[in-house]
Amino acid sequence: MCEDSCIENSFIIEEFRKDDPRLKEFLEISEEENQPSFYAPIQLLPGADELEIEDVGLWIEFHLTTDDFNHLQSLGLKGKLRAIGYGASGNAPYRARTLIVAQHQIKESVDLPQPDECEVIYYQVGDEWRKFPLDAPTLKKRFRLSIDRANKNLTNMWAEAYFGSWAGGGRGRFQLVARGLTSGCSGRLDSMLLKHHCFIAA
Amino acid sequence: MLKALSIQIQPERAPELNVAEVKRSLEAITKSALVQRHDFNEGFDETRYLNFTFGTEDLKGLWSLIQSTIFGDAPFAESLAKASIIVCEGNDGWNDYLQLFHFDPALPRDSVDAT
Repeated sequence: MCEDSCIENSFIIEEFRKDDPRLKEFLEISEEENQPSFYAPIQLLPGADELEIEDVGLWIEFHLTTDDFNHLQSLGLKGKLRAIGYGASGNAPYRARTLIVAQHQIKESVDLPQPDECEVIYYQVGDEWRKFPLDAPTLKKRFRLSIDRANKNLTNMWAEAYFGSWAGGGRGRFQLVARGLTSGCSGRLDSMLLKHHCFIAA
Repeated sequence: MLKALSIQIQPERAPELNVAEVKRSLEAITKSALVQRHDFNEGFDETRYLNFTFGTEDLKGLWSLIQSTIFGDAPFAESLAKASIIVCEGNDGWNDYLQLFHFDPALPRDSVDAT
């Protein structure tokens, strides 16, 4: 018998059939995952001059638009915008669209909720991340910005496929580097659940 | 249960590669009944990369389809082989992922039968 200071634990192992309805939430694609979405990280090289795009060709190639630029300009940003990548989940037309504008390296991990059937801009001011429009509806699933372990000057960005999909389920960061990528080809390969989107040079 | 299979292409490894053509072929694969969801992203990490990720309940079937679509008779097959890496989740997800293809032929290739 346990003394008062001892906590007795027990658990039951139960076998689930593949079609058990209790597995539905784990086996079926959630509404969050079903929403086709587009996202683009952008680096802002701050400056005193009016906002401009560093490489318009790349801006267009990464599916960024004049409207995107106008929206960013309307936020009062100044300096140069550098398109650094984009990602999409599902097929166009996308029902959600996110621009993430980073100015400098973050000090700690940042979670930004993904938009729900709308467009959102997240932009960094100092150490703060602001959202535009403020009242834009968001989902539980997030984008996560974190500091790269190997190079503190790099920011990793992950787009969650559904809420909680990157942590708590035993899924770690996935990189091929440890398995024989030769030097000069450290481009990361994403998992579906841990989508490593891009690096932002600090 | 859905498993993910990811294809990464590093175009600089094969400058002659018609990336648009490869994209079209891979986009066609997303229409297959074997694919339940798909993601794409593109960016720079020392070199340019494109990542295509497919979610499937039939890894073997999807891998077979991919092989025949992009490495079979496709006109870009040879170039693509010089610039791509393909991996998929193993029995324990990405913790024991399988490397199905690597542009470096010296690196080991796993069989999807291991899942």
